[in-house]
Amino acid sequence: MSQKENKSREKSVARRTFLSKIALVSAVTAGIMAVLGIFRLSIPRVFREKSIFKIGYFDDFPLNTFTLIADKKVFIYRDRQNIKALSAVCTHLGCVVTKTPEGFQCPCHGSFFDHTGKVLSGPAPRSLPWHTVDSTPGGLLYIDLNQKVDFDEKLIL
Amino acid sequence: MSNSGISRLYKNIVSLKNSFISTLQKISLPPKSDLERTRAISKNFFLHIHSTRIHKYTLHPAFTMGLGLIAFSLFIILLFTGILLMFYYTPSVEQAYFSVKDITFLVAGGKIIRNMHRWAGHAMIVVVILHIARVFYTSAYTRTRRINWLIGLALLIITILFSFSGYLLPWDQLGYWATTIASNIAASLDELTDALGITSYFNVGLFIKHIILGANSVGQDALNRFYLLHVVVLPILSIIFIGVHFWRIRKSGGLNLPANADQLVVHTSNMSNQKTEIQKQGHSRKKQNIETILSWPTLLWAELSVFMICLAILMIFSYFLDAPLREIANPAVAENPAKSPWYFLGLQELVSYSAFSGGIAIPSLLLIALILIPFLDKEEKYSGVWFSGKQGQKVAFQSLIFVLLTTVTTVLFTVKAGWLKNWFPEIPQLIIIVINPGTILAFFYAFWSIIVLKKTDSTRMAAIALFTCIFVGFLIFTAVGNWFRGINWEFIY
Repeated sequence: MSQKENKSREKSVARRTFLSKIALVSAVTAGIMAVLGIFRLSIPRVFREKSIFKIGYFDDFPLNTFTLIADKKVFIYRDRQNIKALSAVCTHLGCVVTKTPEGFQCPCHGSFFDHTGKVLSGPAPRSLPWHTVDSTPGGLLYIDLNQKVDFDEKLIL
Repeated sequence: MSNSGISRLYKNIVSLKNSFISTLQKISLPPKSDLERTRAISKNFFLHIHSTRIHKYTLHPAFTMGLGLIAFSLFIILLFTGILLMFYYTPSVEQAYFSVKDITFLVAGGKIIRNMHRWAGHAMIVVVILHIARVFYTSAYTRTRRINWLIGLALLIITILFSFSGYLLPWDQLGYWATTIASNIAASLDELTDALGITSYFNVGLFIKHIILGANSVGQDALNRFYLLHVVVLPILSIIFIGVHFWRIRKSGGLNLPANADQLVVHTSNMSNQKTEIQKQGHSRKKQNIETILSWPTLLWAELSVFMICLAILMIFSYFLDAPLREIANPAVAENPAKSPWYFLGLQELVSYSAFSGGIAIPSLLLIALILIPFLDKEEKYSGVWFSGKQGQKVAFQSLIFVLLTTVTTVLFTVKAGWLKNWFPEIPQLIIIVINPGTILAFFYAFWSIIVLKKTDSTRMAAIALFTCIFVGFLIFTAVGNWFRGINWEFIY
């Protein structure tokens, strides 16, 4: 075999290794990007569920009581002039808590909360969050479940 | 002219009947000689996953209890009944529940098909877990079988996902709340990220929950995803993995036989004749494991029998016991008690201390322990023997006593005295994640396994101790979650 042939063969082998490396790298990259893309695709930019709800008028709610709006999973509490909203979703695993004389209780794993939403016992890791209550100019109240506030914040009317 | 295309076609048409018959005979007539029987297995696409000869001990009922075969039979039944259910089932929040009602009450035979699908699904979980226990206790995970042990674990996860994704589809209270709880268990990673203070940068728990549900709570998106998973993704995955699982058994030379398998085989006059015949033919070069027989027909009959027994038991069961269907899913009112599927109730019991610890950390530890077993225990002595002989039986029995004592004591203690949060309400969540009855028991089990390792000087014995602890511990927690937890998750008896 001549020197020249040998060289060109070496060259082609080198080219082949290079090409197979490129193929491998591109396959791995494409795989990683595909997985990332699938993750990204799985989470919609906008969720179907709305977070802002109309809940009615101030006078619709009885005085000094927690009223459960079942389909929104939120308690509305009002006294003479103030109104506020407490989440009814247990911070442990998302069950809807029920009202008891001492506060709230979760049926799933027996977490107890007091009237401010603070955990008294059970596996719940956090307090029940409070949400903002706001009013349209016409007096129609609405809540935003994405907005979390401290329990002493309230809408004064 | 006589050999032209036309005339040859004419001849073929004339002999069409005979050609058909001979082809049919080739695939349908039972083989007559041993050579034909061997060919019947190896030349047939559907049968060639079998080896042409198997060891007689493989068919011994007490060796494998046929658990893998039962699991596969159930899988076939599930595939067929599942396809039939899809004729009527509609995966929409508005219609799902009513389409299941239609299947139950209006469709001819719909009720028994749905019952069979449901009970076969539950049975599958039991059988797969027992199969893993069998494989473990006969140490069928050494050397070349290591990969198959891992594939088996993948199939376990697929089975659980199957059952779990199917749970939501009827869109009744049972499935809705079980799924709500499970998706929040995934989200409970934020217990950890909260404790570490990194939730605001990347809320990985919420991220996973969004991927599972496609929304903030269980709704149409979640139903779509679970349906897709249940009827497309998981069936494809499981068929691939089952194929590889079987193929790996062949590659490892059949089932993991004990060294003295030949002596364990019951001799009948007929069979010992066969043995001498093989020896005459010069097939006895290897001294061990010569008690083989042809797969056709013995193995095939055994398989068919197992399948038919499964089918029969399942049909009788489904005739008398109806699959549950609660009220239509109501997001506003949680079931009380809201329970996951029964096989998750052991975890739900752990979850009632800390969602992250019980729902994520401990299951992950469990899975890692199972994955590591064949890599940490490489002893091949007594491979293929239940409990690796007398010593293993003793260790397994002692472990049983140990796990019963520690687990029952821990459960009863927490029921009576409560846990850290009852004593110190202000305690940081991180401490509860790290120290709770689940993690303490996991520590006990690991500790016990190390004691056994020191005493017996055998990784095999340590593995038996650990596996027995995990297996029985899981059973105890499952039993507590199923039978001793009532309204508000209070202890009842």
